[in-house]
This record gives sequence, C-alpha cells and structure tokens, in this order.
Amino acid sequence: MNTLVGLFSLLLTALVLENAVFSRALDLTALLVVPFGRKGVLLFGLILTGVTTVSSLAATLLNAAIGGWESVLYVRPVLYILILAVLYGLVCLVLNWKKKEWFSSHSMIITIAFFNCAAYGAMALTVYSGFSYLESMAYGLGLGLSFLLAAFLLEQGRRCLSICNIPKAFRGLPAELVYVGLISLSLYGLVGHQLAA
Amino acid sequence: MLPEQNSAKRNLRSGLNLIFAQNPVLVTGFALAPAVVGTFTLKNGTGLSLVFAMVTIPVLFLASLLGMLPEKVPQFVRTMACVGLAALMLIPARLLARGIAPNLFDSLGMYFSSMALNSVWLLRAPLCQEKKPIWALWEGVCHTIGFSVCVLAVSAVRELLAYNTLWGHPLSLPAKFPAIAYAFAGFIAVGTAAAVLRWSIDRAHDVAGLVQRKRKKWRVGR
Repeated sequence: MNTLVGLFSLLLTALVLENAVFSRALDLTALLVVPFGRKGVLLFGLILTGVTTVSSLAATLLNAAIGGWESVLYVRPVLYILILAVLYGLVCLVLNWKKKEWFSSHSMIITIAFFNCAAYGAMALTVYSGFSYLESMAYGLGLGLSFLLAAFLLEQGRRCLSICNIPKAFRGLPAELVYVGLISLSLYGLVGHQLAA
Repeated sequence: MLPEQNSAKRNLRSGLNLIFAQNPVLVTGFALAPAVVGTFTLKNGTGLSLVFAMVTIPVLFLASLLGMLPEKVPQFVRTMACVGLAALMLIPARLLARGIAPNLFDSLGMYFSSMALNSVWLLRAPLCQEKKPIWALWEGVCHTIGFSVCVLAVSAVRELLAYNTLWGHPLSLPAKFPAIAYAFAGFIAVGTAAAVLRWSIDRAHDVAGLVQRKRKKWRVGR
C-alpha cells in the first residue's frame, strides 16, 4: 500500500509541481510552435508519455549496469541519446512494416516525440534522483502526462488571449511565453524557490 | 552589377534573414528550453552557443550528404544517423566547454546535453537533404549566429539584473533582482526579447518602405 501511495505521489509531483513545461520548459517548442493541431497534440502527448515511461526505465537499467564506472562520465549522455535512437528505430521498423500508410503520415510527430528535451530529461532526471525501476516508470509517466496537462492549460490561455487587446509586437509566441511564465511563477509559489536541475 | 556580386548579395540577405527575421529562437520558436532555463549567466549563454554550433552545423552538413543516398534508404534511418552524430558531438563540446568555465556542464545540467536534440536541426535536416552540402553548412552557421545572438543577449541582461555581474565580474548597479535567474523569469525574458525583435523588424520595414517611397518621388520629380 505504501509503495502505491509513494508511486502515486511521485506521479502527481511530476504532473503538477515539477511539470515538464512550466517548471523546466521541456518540449516548449512542440507545444507552442509545431503546427500539430488539436488531435496531433493529443497523439504527440500520448507517444511522448510512452517514450518518457520506457526511456526512464531504460536509463535506470543502464545506470545500474554502468553506474560504478567513473570513465563513462562523458559518455553517459551519449548513451541516453543512443537508447532513444534505438527505441525510435524499433518503433519505426514495426510501424513501417505493419502500418505503412499511418506511419508515413505521422512520421514527423513520431520523430519529434522521440527526440526532444522531455524524452532526454526524463532519463537524466530519473537517474539524477536515484529512483528505483517502478519509481522511474511512475516519474516518466507523470512527466509525459504533464505535457498533456500543459497543452490543455495553454489551449485555455490561447482562448483568453485571442479576445484580449494585445500590443502587436506581443501577439502570438511572445504573449504565449509570458503566459507560460506566469503559470510557472504560480507553480514556483507551491514548490519553493530553486533553480531547475 | 556582376552576377557574382548579385549572388553574394542574395546570400548575405538570406543569412541576415535567418539570423534576425527568422531567428531560430525568438521568431520560429525552436530550441526554447535551453534558451529559457539555461540563460541566467553569460557563461551559460556562451556554453549553450558553443554546444549548439558543435551539434547543428555538422548535423545539417551530414543531412545534406545523406540526401545523396538512394531514395530507398528510409527517412528514419537518416534521422537515426543524424541523432548518432549529434550525440557524439557532445563529447568534444563538453571538453571545449571546460575552457569557458570548469563547472559549466554542472551549471547547465541536462540542458547542455539536451542541445543534441535541439529542434532546429531536427526540423531543418529533412529540408537540408535537398540542398548542396555548402548550403547546409551556410544554413547551420546562420542558425548558430541567430541562436547565439538571442541567447547571449538574454543571458547578459539576466545576469546583470539577477547578480549585478557580467561574465562573473561585479558591476555596481542600483538594484538586484535574484528572481530573474529562475525559470519563470526566463519565459518572460525570452517572450519580451521576441516582442522587441518583432517591433524592431517592423520598424525596419517601415523605414525601408519610407525610403523607397521617397526615392520614387524624387525620381518622378526629376
């Protein structure tokens, strides 16, 4: 029971207090710039959630295998990125074989979902925090879902911004960045003051 | 005007366009995460620019070379090759970053390594496959300058306001706002910088239009 509560609280922490977008600006480009559309963002968020969950577990497994080696200090980030590349290759191979048409129309979403700051950040943060296998999966899941929460909040923000009289220079990306900054500020009040790792 | 001069002028204009009018961070919104969170000191900004250059320029060049492969090589294999090179470039980048500041890697945390997966090369690489390697190289250099201009400007302002220092050297300023170093201030700083750049580009267009109209009037008058 205690383990379940611990995992749930970890998931909630990753979802709200350490939200990937608002506290660490991870995957901001996919959220603000890339024109996925509403369905595309949902699909992107779901794929990203899968990627962060699996990659967090893979990073924890890798860290258990090479953790004691001092000489891998410089190579560790390279290995994390190569893990993402291998996972991406496997998924693409399967999709290319089983669902070729769907894959060709969604290949850009899949590529960006695999190679982004959030996917790498999930691996780095779980290893940095020293999570167990289950904990790292829960944290990765929370991190991926936090993107969907941020997408929902940003959609509401966009609706409000569209009816405001914003100065011309601030319309679009600048206003959205300031809006994300204000939500981030409100979350800082909950977490306390510290620089993101 | 000679054709060579014309093409040089066109290249310069396209380069300036990539640096300012299509700035990778402030206008197109690529590589926002490190630009928002990592730019709280000028040393960090320099480190980010260095790793951006070390990753983006060779990867765009490689993407252009991969474009010469037969079409039956799938796109995801080319992307994997680019990711592999980007990851490997982190090793020399980290060695060089020690020259800027010994603790730069720790100061930037995961944002240093996540630069290997920056959205600039990820979204530009498929387009570079249709270009000649020299053009891909030129595009990589222009994107690097655009990224560096943005990141260095934002980081210098944030360091001045947050710590009253510049490159670690203390300066006497009337007020200090340590909160500027936090991530939320990074969002607001980058957003404001984007608005300032847009305003400047609009004013530059207005001035250019005015000069053109005056010139036309003057010609008609003569």
